[in-house]
Order: sequence, then C-alpha cells, then structure tokens
Amino acid sequence: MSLNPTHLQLLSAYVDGELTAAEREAVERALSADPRMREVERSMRSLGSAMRALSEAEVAKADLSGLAGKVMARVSRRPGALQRFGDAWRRPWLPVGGLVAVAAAALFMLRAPVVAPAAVQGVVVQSATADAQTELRPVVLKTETGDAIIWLVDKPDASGNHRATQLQPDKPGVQAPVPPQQRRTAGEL
Amino acid sequence: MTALPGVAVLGLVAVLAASPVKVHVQVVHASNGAPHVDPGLEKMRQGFEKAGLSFTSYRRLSEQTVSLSTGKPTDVALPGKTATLTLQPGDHPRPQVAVSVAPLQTTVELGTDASAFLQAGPHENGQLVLVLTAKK
Repeated sequence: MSLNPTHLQLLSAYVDGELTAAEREAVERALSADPRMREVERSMRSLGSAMRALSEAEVAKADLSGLAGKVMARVSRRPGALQRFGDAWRRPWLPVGGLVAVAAAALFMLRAPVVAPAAVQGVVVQSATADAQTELRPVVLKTETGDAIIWLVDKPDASGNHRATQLQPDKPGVQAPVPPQQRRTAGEL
Repeated sequence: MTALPGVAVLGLVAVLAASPVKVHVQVVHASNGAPHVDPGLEKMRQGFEKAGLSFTSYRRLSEQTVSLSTGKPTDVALPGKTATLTLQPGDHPRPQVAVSVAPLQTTVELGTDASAFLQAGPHENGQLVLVLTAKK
C-alpha cells in the first residue's frame, strides 16, 4: 500500500486519538496488513513523544516562580490619579508653586498692554557748525542703523538743497543743518 | 534723621552725574584708493555708501577709549590736527558730547548701538573721519 496524503492524515489522527471507532478499526486493519504503515505510525508516535518531552523540558527550565507577583508589583507601583492628586496636595510647596504659576500666567495675560519702547534713536546731532571763514556748511546724514554722518559740503545752491539724496521724510536721510538761532546752549540742556 | 536718606540719595545722584563717560574714538582715513576695508569698518562703509558717500578704502589710523568728565575737554590726536571732546553738563539720558575738530564744531548725543561719523578734514587724497561711539 502506498501512503498518500489522505492515509497520512488518517494515520496522524489515529495516533492523536481523534478518529471514530469505525475509522479507528479501518486504520488498525490497514496497520496489521501493511508493515510500512506500521513503521510510519511508530515514527509518528515517537515524534509526538519527543515534541511533548521537549516542550515539558523547556517549561521546566523556565523560572516562572514569582512572575505573577512581579507583574502585580509593577501594576500597583503606579498610583491612581486620585491618589497622585492627594499626594501632591500633601506637599506644601507644590500647591503654593502652582498657585504662583497660575497667578503669574493670569497677570501676564491680563496686564495692560505695554507700549513697545521706541526704536533705538541712534545718534542725535544737537548742533553742527563750521568755522565762519570757510565756505563749508555741515550736513547731517542719518543711516538706517541710527548712525549720524556729519559731513562738510560747499554752501548750498540757490534752492537750498545739498547734494545728498532726497529720501522719504520718515526714513533716515538728510537732516538739515541746525540754524544757529535754534541751537540749544549748554545751559538749556 | 528723616533728612538723612534724602541727603544720601542726592549724594548718590551727584556721584552718578559726575561719573565719567567712556567713548570709543576711532580715526579713519576714507579715500578712493585701492579697495580696502579694515576689520570692523564694513558697517561704516555701507552706511556711507547708502548716504551717497562712496569711498573705496577705509583704513583705521588709530583708536582709543577716552573717559570724559563733565566740562573737562579731552584731546584726541589726528594727523595734523587735534579734536577736542567735552562731555556736556546736564541731566541727559545719554551722553552729550561737544566735539571741535576744525573747521567743524558739533554737539552729538551718543548711543551705544550707533556711531557719530564726523568729517575731520582732508588727508592724503582722502578724508579723515572721527568715529565716536559710547561704550556700554
């Protein structure tokens, strides 16, 4: 008799005790008639025994003692939210610090809007003159970074303009020379 | 007894008012020679260029920090001339310095984040520039 997958499946079920009485009788008849099938049956039983023995040995080697206790210890180590809240309020500094933080945040949010400080003024030229005997007049040029350049130029033309470029009124640019009559003296400062 | 704190405050104010002001002073030669900008003068070059004063060379001839006391003139040497700096009296939030470097006389209120560039006369095919910056 040749062993096909159906026969092997039946034989495996026989070894595992999963056949009905009629199926079991049919398999036993075949086993008694076919020595090759008996050999396969013995191999299956041996393999099953070996697998069971191996599984039992591995389980025996594993140290599972106290596993449940360790797991429960981990679980119980983390207190509940209510307990944590209670613990926090038992520490005197924590609620005080929390209240201070809340008050600070409220103060920050409710405070009157602070007027932003004016941009860096940079250098302010109070006065600038040239010696009377020269043909030069000072011109004050302001840069974007607040610097002031005091440059001596020839007397302005008939229109009163100097050679510096005209810029927007709110941009750094030319600051006209300060007339002597408008200059502040040291005593007025 | 109550006048004592007031006197102390007034004394402190007087001391603070009389405390000297430190000013960083540089003498720069700006010219149209071979292109060159000394370290730290690039901002000056850019400011001059935007103001329409285009020089190709900015060389620092000297620099020093002077301590100015109110009403006491302090001289700074430039090639061939002298600049005189005098801290102006008065209660100013920022130092006001009178500068005399012929033929220019000016009074500037200095800031620590900005500089005053004063033309100080011609020098070797260029111009001398006196750079004043209040020290923090």
